[in-house]
Amino acid sequence: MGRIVCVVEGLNRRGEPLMRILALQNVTDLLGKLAASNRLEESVYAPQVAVVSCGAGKSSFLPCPCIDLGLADTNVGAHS
Amino acid sequence: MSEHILELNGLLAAFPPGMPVVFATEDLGFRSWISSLGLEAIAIDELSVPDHRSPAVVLIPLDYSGLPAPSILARLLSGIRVLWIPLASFDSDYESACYSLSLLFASDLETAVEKNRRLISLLLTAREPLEFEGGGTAASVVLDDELRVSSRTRVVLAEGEQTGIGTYCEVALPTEMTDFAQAYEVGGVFCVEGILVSRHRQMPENNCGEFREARRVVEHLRARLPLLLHVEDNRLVESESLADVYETLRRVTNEKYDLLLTELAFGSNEGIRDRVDWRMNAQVNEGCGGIHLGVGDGLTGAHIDFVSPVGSLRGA
Repeated sequence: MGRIVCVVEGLNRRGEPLMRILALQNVTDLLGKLAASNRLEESVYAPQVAVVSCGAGKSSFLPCPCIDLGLADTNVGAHS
Repeated sequence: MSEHILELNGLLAAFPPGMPVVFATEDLGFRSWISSLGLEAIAIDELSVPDHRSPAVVLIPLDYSGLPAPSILARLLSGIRVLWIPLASFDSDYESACYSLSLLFASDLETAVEKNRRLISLLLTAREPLEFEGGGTAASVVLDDELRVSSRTRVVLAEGEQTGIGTYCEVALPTEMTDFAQAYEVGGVFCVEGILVSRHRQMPENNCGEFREARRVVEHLRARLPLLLHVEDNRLVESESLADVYETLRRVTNEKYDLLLTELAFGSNEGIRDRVDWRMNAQVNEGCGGIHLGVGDGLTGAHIDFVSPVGSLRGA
């Protein structure tokens, strides 16, 4: 298994994190797991690359003023 | 003034070519300065006025108390492209605001995003610990197999997409708050040339005292830059550079964290490095290249960034 990098690029129109998932392996299985609990917004570009939007606008990152839009209702902002 | 106008294309690269872009900020003087550059500037509350409705907005809050409630703001910004420049988290007086925007106008976002992609590729493929060195810094970073980073791999915002300017200028690995676990392990010595202090929009009033004290400590440290910062197991440790302020730093960044790193980031906006003024407490400074380490979350205490701009990741 290679490394997986999930890049949070911004927020979509519903305020959900818009992410690009990069992997050195086929991400089909990973997307299947994500689909079980999250909505997948955009299509998979290639077996190793997917652009998805996940969750309900919440992030588990520590809030950081440099990278946090502060738009979420809770203290845990969605990151940009 | 004309110098800035000539450089505008860098910042506006975040929007589709030819799309009209509105700058929204609350201070009249700052709006006048933006207007003098030939750009359209409006008050933030004017975003709700149909005549000012624009498909693309650069939103520059200088004081979070002047922003509409998040739910109202979300409605105002729904469906349009928004680039946030959160000056209110740093210094947002007129001089600081003009400084930040001038450097952002001079930034080449396309080149910065290319650098982000190279850095992310390096994170993705690295099999050995990454070595960061140069300019007096010598450190290593061990990465987990699953990383979440905040950055941009695309230059142009999609319709309805919002992001902060920081995502263009860095590849950041924030700490997971569920268990304070980091997906990296950092150790080494960092030669720090710049220090920034900031706070989250939602910092409670009762933490503002710590924030003010953090500002004083940072000013004190700026007077003795460059500093040598020692990091062991993802934590700032006491060293000669910090000896007289170490306990204060712990306290103002929430002593519960005990100076655990809350952010590890690689700057990618290298084109502005020669123009950075380290006396300014401006977010744009931290993205000028190299590496920066953050302590504190900006909410329960101050967030302080230590910027080591000269070194580079081996292979980046």
